[in-house]
Amino acid sequence: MADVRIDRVSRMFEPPVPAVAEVSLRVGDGEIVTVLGPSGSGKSTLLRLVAGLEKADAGDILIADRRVNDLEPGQRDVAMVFQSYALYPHMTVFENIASPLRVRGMAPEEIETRVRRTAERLGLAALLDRRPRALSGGEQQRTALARALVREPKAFLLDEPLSNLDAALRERTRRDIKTLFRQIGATALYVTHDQVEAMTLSDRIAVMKAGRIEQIGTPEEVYDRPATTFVAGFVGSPRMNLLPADVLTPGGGGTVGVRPEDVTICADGPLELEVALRESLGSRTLLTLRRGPLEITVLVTSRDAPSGTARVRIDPTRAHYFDADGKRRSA
Amino acid sequence: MRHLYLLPAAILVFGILGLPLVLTVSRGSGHFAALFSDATLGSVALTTLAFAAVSVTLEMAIGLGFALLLQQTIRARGLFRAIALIPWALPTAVMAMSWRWIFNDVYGVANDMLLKVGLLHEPIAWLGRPGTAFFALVAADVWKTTPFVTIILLAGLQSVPRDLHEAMSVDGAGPVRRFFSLALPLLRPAMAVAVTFRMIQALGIFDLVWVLTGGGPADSTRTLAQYVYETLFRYLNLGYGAALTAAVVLGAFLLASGVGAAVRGKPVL
Amino acid sequence: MRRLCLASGLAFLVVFSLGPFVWSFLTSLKGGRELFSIPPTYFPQSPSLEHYTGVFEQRPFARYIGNSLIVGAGSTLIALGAASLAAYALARLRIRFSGAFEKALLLLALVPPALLVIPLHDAARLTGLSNSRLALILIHAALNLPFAVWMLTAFFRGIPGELLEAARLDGLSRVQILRRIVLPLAAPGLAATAILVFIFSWNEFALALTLLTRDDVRTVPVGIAMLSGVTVYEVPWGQISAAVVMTTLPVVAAVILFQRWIVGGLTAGALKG
Repeated sequence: MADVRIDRVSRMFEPPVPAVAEVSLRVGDGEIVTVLGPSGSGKSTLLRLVAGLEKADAGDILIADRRVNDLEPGQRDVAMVFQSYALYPHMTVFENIASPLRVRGMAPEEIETRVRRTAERLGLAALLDRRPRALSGGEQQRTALARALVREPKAFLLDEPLSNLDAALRERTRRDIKTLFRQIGATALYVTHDQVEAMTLSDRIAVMKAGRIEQIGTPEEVYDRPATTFVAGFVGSPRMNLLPADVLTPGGGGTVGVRPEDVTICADGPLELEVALRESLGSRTLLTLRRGPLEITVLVTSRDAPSGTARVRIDPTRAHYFDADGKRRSA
Repeated sequence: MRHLYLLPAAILVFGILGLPLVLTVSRGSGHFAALFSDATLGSVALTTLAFAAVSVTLEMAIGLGFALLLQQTIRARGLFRAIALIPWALPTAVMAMSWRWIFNDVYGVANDMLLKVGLLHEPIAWLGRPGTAFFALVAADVWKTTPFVTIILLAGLQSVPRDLHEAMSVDGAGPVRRFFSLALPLLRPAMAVAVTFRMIQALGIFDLVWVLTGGGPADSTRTLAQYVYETLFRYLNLGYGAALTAAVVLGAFLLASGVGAAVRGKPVL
Repeated sequence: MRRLCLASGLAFLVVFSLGPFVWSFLTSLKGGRELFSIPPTYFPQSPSLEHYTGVFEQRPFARYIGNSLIVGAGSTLIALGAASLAAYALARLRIRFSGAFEKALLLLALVPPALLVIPLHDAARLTGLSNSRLALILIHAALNLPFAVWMLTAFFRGIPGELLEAARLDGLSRVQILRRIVLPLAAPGLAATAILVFIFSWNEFALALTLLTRDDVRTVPVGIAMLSGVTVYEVPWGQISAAVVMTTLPVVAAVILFQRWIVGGLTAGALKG
C-alpha cells in the first residue's frame, strides 16, 4: 500500500463551473479517508481525478510520492470499485476477477491461485462459474470488490459502493469492508453521501461542498467540533439544530448549533414552545417544537415525551457557535 | 377496443403483403417439384450466394470501422454521421446509373484513377467481363448498404455502459485491448441483427443488378430476384414464378437467421 | 498519432460516402464534347447547364417527378397515420400478443420487395389496379409500415409514463392523450420517420417498375433507368447525370438538415430492438 496526496487540485466544467476547486488532501499509507458530501459536491469528480478517468486542470496528484497527473488510469496501479459495480456481463465471476491480472500478462497458474484465494476471502468460491446477471446485488458487490482486491494495488478508490444495496445488507457489508481493509492495511479513498458510512468506516473524513473541502478530521473531530454550519448540519443523525444565536445570547449574531440530544426538556427551562410533531424512533422519540418562526428538534426517551407545550433548556457548553459566515467561533 | 388501434396497420400489412404472399404460395403449389430440376436456378442461386457472402462481409468490416470512427467525440460529429448515411438514403437504381458511368471502360473515372495510381496498366472493361462485373456489383452494393450496418453497429457500441470501459481502463487495458475484450463481444447481438438483415436484403437484390449489369454480361450476374422477375415477365410462367418466389423467400430467411444466430452466440445480457 | 488516424479515417469516410454523388454532379456540368474526353477531366472546363434542360426535353421528366411526389406523399401520410396508431397502442396500452404482432410485422418487412413482384403484380391485375398510382401508394405504405411502427414505438416508449398517467387523472380520453400529449412530444420522431418513409418511397424501384409501366404514371427512378439506350453510344450520360443530381440532391439536403432527428430515431429503434 502507498499514500495518496492530492495537492491543490482543480477541475473545471463548462461553463466555467469549478467541479473541484483547489482541493488538498492526504491519504496516509494504510489509512481510510472518506470524502463525504451531497450530490454535486464534486466528491466523485475528485475520485475520478485520482483514478485518472478525468484530467486535473491544476494541481498535483501523487501516489507513493510519484506524480501521476500524466499517467493513464491503468498505469497508476490503483483499483476502483464503481457504484454500479461495472462487472463485465459476458464474463464469469472468475474471469471478471481475473481480468486485471490477465491484462498484466500474469501466468495462468498464478492467476488461478490468486483469484481463488480472493474469492474464498469474500465468500465467492461457489459462484466462480456464474455470470453477473445470475448474482444477487450483494454478490455482485463482492465480485467488484474482489476484482479490486486481487490486484493488490497501491490504493483503493471506492465510489459509493454500497448505495445500491438494501439497508440491512449495507450495514453488514460496511463492516466486512472495514474488517477487510484493516486486515490488509489498505489505503483507501472512499466517496459517499451517507454520513453513517463515513462515520463508521473512516480514519478521517473530508467533508466537501460545492467543490471545496469544508473540514478534514477524524469522525470524532468532525462530529464534536464541526468547522462550519454546513458540516454541523450534515454530520450526525438526527440533524443538528441550527438556530439564530440570539436564542441563547440575546443580541448575539451568527448561528448556534445544538444536537437534538443536547436539548433538555425541563419544567423551568427558559424557552417555551409548542409540540408540533412527534416521530417515534422506537425507544426514543424525536420531537419538533415550534414557536413562531423558531423550530427546535429534541430527542427524548419515549416514556418522557411530553405533548402540548414544553419548556426546554440548551446547555451552552454543548452548543456550537458559528459566526455570520458559517465558520466556527472559538468560544 | 384497444386492439382497434392496430387495425389500420394490420389491414395494410397483412392485406397487401401477407395475403398476396399466401395466394402466391398456393398458386405455385403445383410447381415445387420443378424447382429441383432447374439448372438455371442452381447457377443463379450460386451467383447470388457468392455475391451476398462477399458483400456482407465487406460491409460488416467497413461498417464496423466507420462505427468506431463515428463513436469518437469529434467536432461536427452529427455532420459526419449524416454524410455517412447518405449512400443508403439515395435511390439505388438512380445511383446505379452513376456507377455505370464510373465503371465505363472508356470514359469512366474508375479506370482513370486506378491507372493514375498505378494499380492498373490498361483500362478494364468492368461491365463487359463476368469477373469484373461481379466485382463492380459488389463495390456498388457495399457503397450503398454500409451505412445501414454502420448505424446498427454504432447503436450497439453506444449501448455498452461507459463505466465498463472505465473499469477496464483502471484495470490497465488500453483502447485496443478494450475493443477486443469488451466492445466486440458485447457487440455480437448488434452484429447478428446487421448480418441477418443484410443477408436477406443481399439475397433478394434487384434494383442494383438490373440497372448496373442487367444480369450480364451473358447472365453471369443474374440474381435470384431477377430470375423471378424474368420468369413472370419474360417467360410468362406465373405458376413456376410463384413457386420460385416462395422458395427464395423461405430460403433467404432460413439462411440469414442461421448466420445471424451463429454470430450472436449465447446471449449474455 | 491518434489524431492522424482519426483524421484520415474521417477523410476516407467522406470520400467514400460522397464520391459517386460528387462525380455525378461534376459530370452533369460538363458540356457534350468534354463529357467524352479521354482521359476524363475532373473539373468541368466549361461548365454548362445544357443537360439539365435537356432532360426535361427528351422525356417527360417533370411528370416523373410529379408522380414520385404523389406516391411519396400519399404513402407517407397513410403509413404515418396507421403506424402512429399502432405504435401508440404497442408502446402504451396493454395489448395481448403485442410481441407476436411486432414480430409478424418485422418478418413481413424483411421480405425483399423485389421478390414480391409476382404476388403484387398478380394482385394488382386481379383488382384492376394495374398502372394505378393508388396501388403503389398503398403498397409503399404497407412496405414501410413495419419500419415506421418500429421507429415510432421506440419514440412513444421514450415518453415518461407519468405524463400520460397525469393526463388520465385529469380526465382526458385516450384519443385526446394521443393528440394533445403523445404526438406533440413525439414530433421529432414523427418527422424523422416521415422523412425516411418518403425517401424509401422516392427510391423504390422494383415494384414501381413492374406496376407503373405506362409512361404517364412512371416514377423517377424507373424513368432514369429508362434513359439508357440500347448501346453505349446512344446513352445520354450527361442528361442521366443531371437527372441523378436532381433526384438525389433533395435527399442529400434532407439527410444533412435533419440528421439529428434521423440518426436519433434510427439509433433509438436499434437500441430498443
